[in-house]
Amino acid sequence: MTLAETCESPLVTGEATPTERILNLAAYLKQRGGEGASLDDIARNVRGYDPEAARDTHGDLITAGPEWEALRRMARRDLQDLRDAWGIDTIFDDEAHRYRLRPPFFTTRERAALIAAAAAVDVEGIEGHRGQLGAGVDDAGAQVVIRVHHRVADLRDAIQTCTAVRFDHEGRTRVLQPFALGTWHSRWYVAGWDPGLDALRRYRLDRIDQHGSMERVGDPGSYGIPDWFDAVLAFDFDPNTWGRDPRLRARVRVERDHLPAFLAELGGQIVGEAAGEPVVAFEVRHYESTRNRILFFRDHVLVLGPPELVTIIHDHLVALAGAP
Amino acid sequence: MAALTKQRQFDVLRAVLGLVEERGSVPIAECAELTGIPEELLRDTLGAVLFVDFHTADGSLVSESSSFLLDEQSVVTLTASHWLRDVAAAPPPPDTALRLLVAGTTMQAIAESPTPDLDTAVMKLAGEVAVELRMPVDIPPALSTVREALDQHRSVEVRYLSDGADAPTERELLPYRLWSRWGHWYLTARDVTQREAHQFRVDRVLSAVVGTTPFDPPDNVELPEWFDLSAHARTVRVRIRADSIESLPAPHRLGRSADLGDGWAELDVTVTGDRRLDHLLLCLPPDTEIIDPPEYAERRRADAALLLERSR
Repeated sequence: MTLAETCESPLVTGEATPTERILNLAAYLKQRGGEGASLDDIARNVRGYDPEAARDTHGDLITAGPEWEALRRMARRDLQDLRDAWGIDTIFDDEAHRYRLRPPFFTTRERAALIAAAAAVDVEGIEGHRGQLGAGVDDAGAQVVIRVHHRVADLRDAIQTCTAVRFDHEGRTRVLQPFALGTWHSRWYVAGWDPGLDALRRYRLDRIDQHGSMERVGDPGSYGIPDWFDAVLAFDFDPNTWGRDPRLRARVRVERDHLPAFLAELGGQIVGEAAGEPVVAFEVRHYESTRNRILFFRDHVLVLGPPELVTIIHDHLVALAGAP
Repeated sequence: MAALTKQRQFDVLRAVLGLVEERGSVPIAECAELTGIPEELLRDTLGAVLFVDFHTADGSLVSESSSFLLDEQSVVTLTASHWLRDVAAAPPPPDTALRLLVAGTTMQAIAESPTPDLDTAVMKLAGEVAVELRMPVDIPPALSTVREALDQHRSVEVRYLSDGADAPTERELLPYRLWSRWGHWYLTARDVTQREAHQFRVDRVLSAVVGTTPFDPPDNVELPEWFDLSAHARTVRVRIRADSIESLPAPHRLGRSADLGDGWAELDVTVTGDRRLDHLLLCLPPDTEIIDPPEYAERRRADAALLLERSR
């Protein structure tokens, strides 16, 4: 027999502790649903409240006097505890004099999906506390490990409150109005407006002085995140996205075995074949970075066109080969 | 033994019930260890939730007790749902919301089928965290085949292009564990011709088919915290225009820069492996002077000449 199947326990027959009373109240309000419950209903049906509180000749609770006041105070304290300790919140309907539960933040299925995610993805760098959603899950078999830089939580708070921050980054002190956080190639960055430079800037969090402090400067709400700010673009570090060189459409022949790595590095589409190998085309807006990234593939990639790009790579190699 | 305060009781119950929801069932001894209170006191404390009940207006008894059970084996079990969390209207605390948002967003990226419940949960969290998060985790084409082999406890036959290699090799691997870290998917596996397991980047698997060799994967295959590549570190000292430093190919590590004036700087640049060293040397602007080791200057010149020759 399980303990739950018996009603012999003194916990049931004896007087309810405050914790039992509060949990009983939550269960009762949950059961009442949209109909809600009056203080009278609570007093009659929730163990731990006084069902004998003063009533009129119709059996209704007398809504005045010390007994009613004590009942009301007890219910308010219990509802406060429910909110503070369990996140269970109620709405009081002034007209109907009834308490109702606020709708849940997550549905049961949403919570289950998040718990599954927490089990599959181990998020390092943000501690979970006992009892919090996803903190009790067994993530020993997690497939994915994501490291969250320790500055992320601090910057998130600054972004939420629109408070500028000051930090040392690669030997220089920067003031930033942070707009967003993001990752690129597993590195965390913060993007925002640098009033000193009067420009949008991105800073790599692991290049912020780890021993220095990150101070808040100015008042919360002292700036707004502008409409033109595009977070997706802000964390796209591909130079061919933001480069200013005249646009070229590159065509390169890539040995098939190196194609996945090439596409991962430079993107583009397969547009045909040459000498039995795929030909990839992609947009170029930053010549120097494109040249450098193509050179990583050595002679497994051959630039077919346009002539400007062929010349850029050829001239660079000639200059190096002619150097002492 | 002193009774727990009301607040402490809440904390204990929240922790235990949360754990039970997320694992299905938990021995009470583990709950006692988690909460740091003696088992007997924990049993009493749990009573508050095991015996939740109330009467409706018509006098019938309604109970939530069936949600959580404490059985004769001293195991706390969730049988229906965590009804307390079912009615929680408050969003998670900020750190928890961020942690769940990162986990949820990553899970969305790696999921192989639609995740409507996760999608709405992540949307709610994003509204709370109010921070743009991009968590790209690329899915290599070979991942599903490798996962299939892992599930079937069979080998996987791959064509694998190692970092910096010019040509792929054919291998038959016994897959032990599939995992993702630092934005890449890895396979911990043993080549059937070798005695020890190694780590393979799944995005470097050019093709994969489930093999025919059955095997029992070992238990407790641990994920490496990091790869010690220090033996492959290659450092070159250069005099370079300061505005060219930003254009050096990643990944690299920069030493302390000495300002030489007129926009020039001298510093160490470190990369991993000979292939990345050659790439770095090729990417340096022609006016960059290689200081140390001096033979790298000739290495760069010869390599550039070789590539020029091959491009003809």
